[in-house]
Order: sequence, then C-alpha cells, then structure tokens
Amino acid sequence: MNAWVIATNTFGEALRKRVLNVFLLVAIILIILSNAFAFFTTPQQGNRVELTVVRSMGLGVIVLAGLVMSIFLGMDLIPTDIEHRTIYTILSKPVRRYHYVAGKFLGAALTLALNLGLMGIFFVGVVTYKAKTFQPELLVGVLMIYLQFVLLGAVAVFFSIFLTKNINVALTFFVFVVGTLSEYWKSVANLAKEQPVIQFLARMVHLIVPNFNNFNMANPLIHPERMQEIPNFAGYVAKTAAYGILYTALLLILASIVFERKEV
Amino acid sequence: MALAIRTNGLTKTYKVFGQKRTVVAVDHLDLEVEEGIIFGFLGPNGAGKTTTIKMLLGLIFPTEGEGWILGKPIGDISVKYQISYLPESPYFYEHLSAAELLDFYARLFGIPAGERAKKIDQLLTLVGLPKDNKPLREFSKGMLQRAGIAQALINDPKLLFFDEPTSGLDPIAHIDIRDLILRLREEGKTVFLSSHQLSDVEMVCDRVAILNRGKLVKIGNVEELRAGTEIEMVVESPDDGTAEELRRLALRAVPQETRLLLYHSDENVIGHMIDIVRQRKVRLISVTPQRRSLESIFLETVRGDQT
Repeated sequence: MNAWVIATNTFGEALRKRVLNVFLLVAIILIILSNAFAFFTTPQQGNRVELTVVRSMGLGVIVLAGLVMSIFLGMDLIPTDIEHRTIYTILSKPVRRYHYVAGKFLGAALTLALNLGLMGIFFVGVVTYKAKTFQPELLVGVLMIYLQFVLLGAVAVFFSIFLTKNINVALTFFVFVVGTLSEYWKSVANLAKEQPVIQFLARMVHLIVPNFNNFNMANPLIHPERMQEIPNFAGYVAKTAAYGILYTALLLILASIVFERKEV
Repeated sequence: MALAIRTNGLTKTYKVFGQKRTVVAVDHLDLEVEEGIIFGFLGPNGAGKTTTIKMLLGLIFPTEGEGWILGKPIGDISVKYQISYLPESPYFYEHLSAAELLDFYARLFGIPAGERAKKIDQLLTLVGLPKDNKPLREFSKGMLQRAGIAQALINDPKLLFFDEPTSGLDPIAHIDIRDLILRLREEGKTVFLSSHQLSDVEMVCDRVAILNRGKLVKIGNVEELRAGTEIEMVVESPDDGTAEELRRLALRAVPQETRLLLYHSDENVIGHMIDIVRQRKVRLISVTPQRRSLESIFLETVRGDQT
C-alpha cells in the first residue's frame, strides 16, 4: 500500500520534470516529422520505402527517448530524496525501506509508460495513416521497448543506491551497450575455445548482463516481410516479457537488500 | 513514569574515507526521556545531536549500543505510527500544495480518506497555512517550517522529534511554534527538542541534556540545573587589552555601548576580575548575584568539557 502511495507521488513529481516534458515533445514532433522525411525517397522507391523510413525513424526516436528517460529517472529519484533530505520525513514514518524502493521504481515505470505510450500512439498513428492499414505488431514493438527500458531503469535504480549520479549514468549506459551486444558475447564464448579466460569472461557477461537485444524487434517491424524470421511471435514476446519482468524484479530485490542497510 | 526514549551505550563512529582513523559522532550515550515532557537536547554544532536523532529514527544505524522508543527497539516499524520527525530546514516535494503534502503523509499512515480531509483541514488551520493550491515551491521558509510541523502532527504522535524547529523563522512564527510545543505537552505528548535557541529551551523544556563532542556532559531538570546563582559584574568599557583579559576569565561577556557585562558563578574568579579592574583603574559599576541562566550553564558545561 505504501509503495503505491510513493509511486503515485513519484509519478506526479516526474510529470513536472521539464526535461522529460521537453523530451516527450521533441520525440512526438520527430515522429510526426518522420512522414515528411519519407518524401526524401525517390518516387521510384515507392510507398514501401517511405514506410520503412517512417517506421525506422519512429522506432529510433522512441528507443532514444526511452534510453534517456529511463536512465534519467532511475538515477535521479532516490538520490534526490536523500540530497534534499525529503527521505527523512518518509522513512521516519511507517514505511518499509523495500516499499520505498519499490514505490520509487514503480513511479518511474508509470512515468515511462505514459511517455512511451504517448510516443507509441503517435508512431502507430503516423504509420497507420501512411500505410492505410493498422499493424498491431507495432504496438507490441513499443511494449517491448518499454519493457527494455523498465529493465534499464531498474539497473539505474540499483546503481543509484550506492553510486553518484554521474558514475551511475556512465555505468548504466555501459550496461545497456554491453547488454545490447549480448549475442556477440555468446559468439565470443563459443569461438574462444582455446582461450579459457576470454571464454569464461564472455560467457559471464552474456549470462549476467541483461540481454537487451532480446527486446529489439526493429528488423521485423521495419520490414514486415521479415516477420517470418520469428516463427512463434506470441511465444517470443511472452518469453521476452517474462525475462524482462523477472530480471527487473531481481534487480529491485537486490536494490532493496542494499538499501536496507544504507544510511540516509 | 514510562520512558519515551532510552538508550544504552549508543555509539556512532564513521570511518574517514581513505584514512585509517575513525570519527566518533556519538560516544556511548545513555539517555532516559520520560513520557509527557519536553526534553531539550543541546550541544554545539557537530556535538552529535542530529546523529542521535537519526539513530533513534532508524535512518542510520548505531555502531554500538542499543536504544528503545516507547518501549520498542529502535527501527521497529510499529513504533513509527506513534512518532514523528521534523528535520532541520525541511525540504518537501515542491510540486505539492500544503494540503496535498499532508495528504501524502497521511496516506503513508493508512489514514482513511474521510478522516484525512478533516485532519488536513484542522492542521492547516492550526499552523496557519493556506488551504488553496499554492505549490510549496512558492512558500517562504517560515511557511515551509509550518508545513513541516503540520506533517509531524498528521498521525497524532505520542513522541515528536523536533530538530531546530524555529531556525530561520520571524519572531511571530517563532512564538507560534514555541506555543505549539507547549500545547503538545498539555496534550500529554513527549517532545524531544534539539535546538540552539537556549532561551526557547529554557522557557519550554522540563529537562535538558547537553551533548559535547558526542558525549553526554550534563543532564537534569531545568529548574535543578538553574539552582544556585551566578554573579553579574558590570564595568565601564575598559581598554581593549583589559576587556580581552576579562572576557577570557568570564563565562560569558556581553558588551554594551558604554559598559561591559561579565558573568561567572565562581566568587573567586569574580574576585580576581575585580582585582584586575581596580589595578587598571576601570570603573566598577555593580556586582550582583542573580539566578543562573541556561545559557551560562551551557557555556560553563561545554567550555569546561573542552579544557
């Protein structure tokens, strides 16, 4: 119950952050403008290529905005409460520390949902207008992007318990890059059979760092003809969503354990 | 009488980053605070007052020792329904109005919606804050302090921790808050008051403890501590050298336009100061025994502990 009280308050607080509002506005403008960028294609290339431009640009903008927003929210919420000493009046009330962490994270996740949701609506709207047909897979794609950045937000929240904001931003971004290259580390582990140290390290990175690449459905979404590359689309989405939710939960449990002994 | 607060050897040390040495913030503090009183917690800056309060509230953890709040070990979540805290210079979520802020804190206590609205209305009236939607970012320091006091009363606590509740307030707000603290005692609540405003503490507190460099150096009832006399010696403004010498000997010195007021509780020291005044041919205006003030007790205790 207290986690929800903190979450709704955090959501209200985050909605008033000008940086996020500006980001949302710019992102929506770029998504709408993607239609105009499509005119740069030659008439011979036709509507199919125009649609590819609109889809790539829209998804790219949502990913970029999600990346910035999730890191910004995750690294900022708890340290700001500590810096401003607002946390004193919260933790001196009957609020369990793990409720506080969960509430702050949930507030960030709600904020991200609203922002990415709005971008997603505009994106799907622009593509539907251009293609004259509604493609529900695009909504699933936006949902995957959301889950990906909820997970990255959890990474930032976890680091925010014990790292400074600047180091947190750098490290969370690094984790995102390393996690996006997860399949690469797997290949390295498979290929480096004669170098056990490299093989071990690559395997560990592949296993421990969240695999953000799983959430990346840009290719089949931009080129719908490649949708067959994912044989069981529903199963893949469910499995990836479950992976994201479980990993996020694990990170929040770890964050709560560390925060339980943190002096504020 | 039941105890609101009890500590046994409560200690907090900090490791200095990059060094082997540790800093002792609170040193084996044994404290007993009875229920229903206003307890003054005094000490110079860095004495360990806020550290002690933060340990009692479970915001930081003791390195050694233990403590109980209303009979429960510190950190026990159930006791937090009965306590409240007003930190020094509080900072709240700026986007909220005073009523929304109180609603947020009331929800943390699980107070039902109907009761919340009634309580918020009463508290805003009590502390004299507007009931409109003006966000806290537009509040003055005094108004923020009033909001802080209102949040500390939202759960009708039995024990209140106030850390410098009157710092930075104008005289009217200052008096209002002092009166409110007295009213809380009339309602049977315990107030743990950490303050530098010695005149306030003297006026409202039943009992005081003086902390210096993390150690408890004096504790007692205000009336008991003030028993006995101190001597006020008034001289015509002496030259700088004599004034400096007299100031060093006195417990406290108050320069006025044409006079210098010197205080000490030891007759021998006063006698020595009179000798100096005579030798330097400075005019002695009066020597008067008077009741000791908390200020002189505080200075005597802290300076005595430092020498």
